[in-house]
Amino acid sequence: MRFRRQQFISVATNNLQAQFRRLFLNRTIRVTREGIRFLLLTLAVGIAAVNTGNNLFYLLLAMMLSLVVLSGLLSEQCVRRLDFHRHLPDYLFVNQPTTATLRVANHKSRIPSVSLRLLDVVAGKDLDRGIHIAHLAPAASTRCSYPLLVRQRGPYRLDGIRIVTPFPFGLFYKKSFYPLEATLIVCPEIIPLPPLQLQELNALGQDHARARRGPGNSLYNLREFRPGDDSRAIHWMTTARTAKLMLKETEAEDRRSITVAISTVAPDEAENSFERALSIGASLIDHFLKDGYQVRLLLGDQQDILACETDQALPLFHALALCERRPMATGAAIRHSMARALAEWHEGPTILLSPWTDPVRNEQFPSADYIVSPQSHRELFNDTGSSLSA
Amino acid sequence: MTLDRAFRLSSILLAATGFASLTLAIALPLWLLVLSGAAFAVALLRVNLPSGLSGVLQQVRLSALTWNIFLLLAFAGFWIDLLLISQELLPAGIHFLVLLLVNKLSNLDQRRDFLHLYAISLITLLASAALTTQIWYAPFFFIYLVAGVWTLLLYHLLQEHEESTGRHMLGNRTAPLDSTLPHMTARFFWTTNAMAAGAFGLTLFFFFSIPRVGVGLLQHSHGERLRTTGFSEQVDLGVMGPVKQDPSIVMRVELPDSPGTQSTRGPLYLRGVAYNRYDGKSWSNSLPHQRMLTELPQGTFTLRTPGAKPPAQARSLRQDILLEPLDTAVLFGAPLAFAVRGDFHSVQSDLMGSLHLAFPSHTRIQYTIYSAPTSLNPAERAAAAVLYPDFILQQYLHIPAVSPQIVDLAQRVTQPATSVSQAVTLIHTHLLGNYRYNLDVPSLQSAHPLEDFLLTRKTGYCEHYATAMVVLLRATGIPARLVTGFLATEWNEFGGYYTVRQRDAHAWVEVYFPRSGWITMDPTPPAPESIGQTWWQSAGRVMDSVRLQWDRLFVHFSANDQLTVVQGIREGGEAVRTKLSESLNSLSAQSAAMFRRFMSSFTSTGIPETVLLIILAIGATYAGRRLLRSSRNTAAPTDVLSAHQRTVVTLYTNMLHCLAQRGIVKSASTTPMELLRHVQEEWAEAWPFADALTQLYTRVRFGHDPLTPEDHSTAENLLRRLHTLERATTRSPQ
Repeated sequence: MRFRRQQFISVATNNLQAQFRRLFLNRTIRVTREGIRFLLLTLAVGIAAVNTGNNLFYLLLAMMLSLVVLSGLLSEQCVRRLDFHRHLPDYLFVNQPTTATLRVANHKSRIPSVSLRLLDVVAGKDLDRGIHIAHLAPAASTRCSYPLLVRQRGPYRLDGIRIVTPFPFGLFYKKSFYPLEATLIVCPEIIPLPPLQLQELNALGQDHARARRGPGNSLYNLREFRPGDDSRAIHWMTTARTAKLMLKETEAEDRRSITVAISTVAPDEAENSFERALSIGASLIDHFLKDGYQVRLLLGDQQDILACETDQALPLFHALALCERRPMATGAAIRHSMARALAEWHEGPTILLSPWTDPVRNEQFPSADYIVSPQSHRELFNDTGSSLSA
Repeated sequence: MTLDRAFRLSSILLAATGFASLTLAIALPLWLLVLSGAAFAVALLRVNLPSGLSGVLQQVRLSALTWNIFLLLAFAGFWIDLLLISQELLPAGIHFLVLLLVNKLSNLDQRRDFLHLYAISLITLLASAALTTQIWYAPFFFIYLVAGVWTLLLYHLLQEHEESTGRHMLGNRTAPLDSTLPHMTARFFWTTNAMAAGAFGLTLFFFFSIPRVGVGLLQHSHGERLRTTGFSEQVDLGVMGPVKQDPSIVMRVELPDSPGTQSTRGPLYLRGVAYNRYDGKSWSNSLPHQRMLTELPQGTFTLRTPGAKPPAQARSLRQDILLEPLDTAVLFGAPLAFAVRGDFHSVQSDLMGSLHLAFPSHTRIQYTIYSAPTSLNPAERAAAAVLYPDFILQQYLHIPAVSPQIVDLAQRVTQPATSVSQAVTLIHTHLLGNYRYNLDVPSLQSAHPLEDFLLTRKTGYCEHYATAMVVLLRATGIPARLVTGFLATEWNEFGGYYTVRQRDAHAWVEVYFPRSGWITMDPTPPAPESIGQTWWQSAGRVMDSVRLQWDRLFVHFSANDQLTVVQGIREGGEAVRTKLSESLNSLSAQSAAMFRRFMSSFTSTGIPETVLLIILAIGATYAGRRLLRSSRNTAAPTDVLSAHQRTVVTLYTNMLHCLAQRGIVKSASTTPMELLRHVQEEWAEAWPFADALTQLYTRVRFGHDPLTPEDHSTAENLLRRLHTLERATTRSPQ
C-alpha cells in the first residue's frame, strides 16, 4: 500500500515536472522590433497614467497590456499540440543534396496554428530550412519538404524541431521546442575519379583470375559419367566417339573481386588528407560495385566488410562515415593488423589508400597492388573541399 | 474583400477614430478639420477606387519634397502657435499632431508609414483622454480597440505573406491591390471579432486591477466649474430667478439605505447655506466663523466632539452624492448632517450647520453625508409658548425696517394660533394658499421686494416665499432663518438616484424649537407636475444613468474602490467559509448523534461497546478495500472510437468486402498483416492497394494518427481502383 502510494506520488510528480518543463523550459519569447516600439509606447502611457492619475489613461494602458497578454495566449495556442514526423534518407553523402520531409500534424480540434516557421535544431543551433506554414487547420496535417545538405562526414544529429510564430500581432516571437531526435549517417563524399586512373584500376587483377569448376557456360572438363550425375550434362558427341557416357563439366563464371584498404593512421596536420582518402575510398567502392565487383573494405584495424552488389554497400559506407583518424602512436599496431589481414586474403587485387605518405610504411604492405597517396596521386588529394562543417 | 484592402481600411478606421475623439474633445480650427477630412477622403478613395482611377490618383500625388516642406512648415507653425497664438503647449501640440496625421494619410506606402500612423492615432486618443471625461469617449475607445485588433492582426498576416511569397504588397505604388491575396472569410471575420472581445474583457480586467497611484508631477486639472447662485456670503433677493431655467446637472444623490420607488419618495431637501440677517434686499450670514470638523478614520469627518456619543446611525439618512465641480465650496446634504465621508483634506462647519470645503473643487467629487431625522417634539407641538435661548433670540429675530402692514399681516394670520407650532403652520398655510408661484418677477430692480411680494404683486418664487415666511415668523417672535440649497425632485428610476439640476436651486425656512432644533418648513407651493413622461425624457434619464456609471466605474475609479472590492470579496469569502463550516459542524454533530443512538441500541443487547467498535472497524476496512480493488479493476473505459478511427474502419471494412467478393476472405483470427501476405500470394495486382489501405488503417486505428482529408481522399481513390480490378481466375504456373 505504501509502495503504491509512493509510486502514485512519484508518477504525479513526474507528470507535473514534465508539464512544467514543457510549458516553461521549452518555450522562449523574443520581442520583435515592432514589439519593442509597442512596449515603449505602453511604458509611456503607463508613466502618464501614474503621473496624472487619469483613469482614462489607465484605460488605454489596460488596453495595451491586454493586447500583450492576448498575444501571449494566442501564440501559445498556436504552438501547442503539434506533432512531427521526420522522413529522412537512410544515409547521405557529404555535399550531396537530398530531400527531407517533415510531416506536421495539428492535434487541436478547434484551433488552427498560424504563421509557423519550422527550424531544425542541430547541436543546439537553430537552422532555418525555409519551412513556413501560413495556416494549419485544426486536426489537419501537412508535409513540407526541404533540401538537406551536409558538409561533414559522420553522425549528423538532429535534436528536434523548433517552432517559431509571431502570431497574432507580430509583437513577439514565441518559440517552442519539440524534441525529435534523429541521427543521420553522413558518408564521405563521392567524387568523380579521373578516367585514366579508373582504367588502371580496372586493369588490376586480371591475371588473378583462377578457373574452377562450377555453373557456367564455358567447358572446364570432360569425364566419365558417374551414378548421381545430372544426365542433362552428358556430352553426347564425346559419348558417341568414345562409346562411354561422358559428362561435361563447366567452368564457374567467377565474380571479380577487389580489396580497398584504407590506413586510418595520420597525424593531426593530415586531417584533410585523411578525409580526402575516405572520399576516394568511398568513390572507389561505389565505382567497383557498380561495375559488378565484389568489394572488400579493410579500414585500419577494423574487421573487414564485404559487399557483393550495390545494395550491400551501406555497411561499407557506414564504416567509412564513422571511422576515426588514429594517432601516430597507434600506427604500428594498425599497420601490423592491416598487413596480416591483407596477407590472409588472396582474392583479387588490393588498393591501398594512405593519407599519410611514409616510404617506410609502404614497404610493410607488399600485398598492395596499387597505392594511392598524396605523394603518388597529388591531383586527387589536392581538392579538399569536403572538410567544411555541416 | 482581400486582406490587403481590409488592412488599409482598418488602418484608416483606426486613425479616424482617434481623430474623431480628439475633434470632440477640443475645438480644432476649421481649416484643419477640412484638411484632415480631405486627407481621410483621399486615403479612402485610394483603397476603394477601381484600378484605373486609382492610377490616375497616383499621378496627382505630391512629391516627397513637397511633403517635406509641408512638415517643416508645420513644425514652424507649431512654434508660432506655442509662442504667439495659443501660447499653450497642448493646443499647439495637437494642431501639429493633426498635420502629421494628414501627412501620413497621404503617404501610406511603406510598412513604417502604417506604424507611424498607428502611433499618431494612439497619441490622438491619449490627447482626447487628457481633455475630456465625457461618456462619448467610451464608444470611441471601444471602436479603437476593435479596429486596433483588426489592424495589428492584418498587418502581421500581410507581413507573413510578403515574407513567404517574396512579394511586397506595401511600397509598390504603381501596382494595384493584389487580388491573389487571401480573402476574408466569415470564419476569419468572426474569429477576429472574438479576439477583439477577448481583448476588451482583458482590458476591463486590467483596468480594475491596476493599482491606482497618482504622483501628480504634471497633473492638469480639467473641467470648468458650474456657476451657481445663492451660496455666497451675501445673497440678494431674486438672484435665484435666472438659474431656475438652467437644466445643467449639479449633482446626483443616491439613498442606498432607503429603497423605494418614485411614487414613495418625496422631495429631498439638500441644504447648502443658511442666512440669518435680512436688510430688506439681501440676506447675509452674521455668524461666519467656521470650525474644522473632527476627522475619524477612513476619511470620515464628524460634527461631534471627541468623546461625545455618536448619534444612532441606524435612523440617520445616508446620502451618496456625486457633485459636479461648482464655484462654491459648500457641501450639500440633507438637513442636520452630522458626518461626512470623502476624499477631503478637511471639512469645516459654520455656526449655522453649513458644511464647507477649504476651497471649491476643480473636479467632480464624491462624498457621503449622514443626516439625522428631523421631527417636532410632541411637547413643543402643543406648547403655547416656548422659551428661547438668548443667543437664538439675538441672531434669529432681527427683521429690517419693513412696512407695518407686514407686521400687521403676521399678527393677523397668527391670531387664531393657540401654540407656537400652530402659528408657524398658519403662516405656512397662508403663504401656500394666497400667493402665486411665478418666476417672472423683477425682484432685483425693486426697492422693497418683500413688500411687493406680500402686499402688491402677490407672485414670486421660492426666495420670496421663504423670505416672507422668515420675516412673518420673526415678526411674531418665532426665530427662523433662510436656507438655500437644492430641492431634489427628479428621480432616475434606472440609476436609482436623484438628479439635481441648477433649476432645482431652492430656498426654504428653518424654524427653531428649543428641544426639536431647527425644523425645515417650505412655504413655496410645489411646481405643477409635467403631464406624463415622454420617451425622450426617459431616454434622457437612461443616458444620465449610464453617464453616472461611466463616471463612477471609470472616470472616478480609485484605490478606495479597489480596496472596497477586495474587502467585499474577502468578506464574501469569509461568509461562505463560515457558512460552510457551520454546515459541516451541524452535519458532523448529527452524524455523531446517530452513531451514538446506533451504538446504544446494540449495547443494550449486552454486546460490549469495545467489541462492537472493533467489529465495525474491521467491517469498514474490509468494505473500503473491496471498493478500492473494484474501482482499480474496473474495466478500462470502452474504447470509444474517434470520428477518424470510425472512418478508417469503414474504409477497411469496404476493402475486406471487396476482397471477399473476389474470394479472399479474412477470418477473425487473421491479422491485417497476414491478410496482406495472403493477398500478395493470391492476388498480386491488388496488393499495392491493399497494402496502402492496410497501412493507413493500422496507423489511424491503432496509432491514433489523425485522418487527414488528403489521406481520406487517397484511400477512397484506392478503394475505387480496387473495385475495378479483376482477379485472374487461373494462377500462373510455378
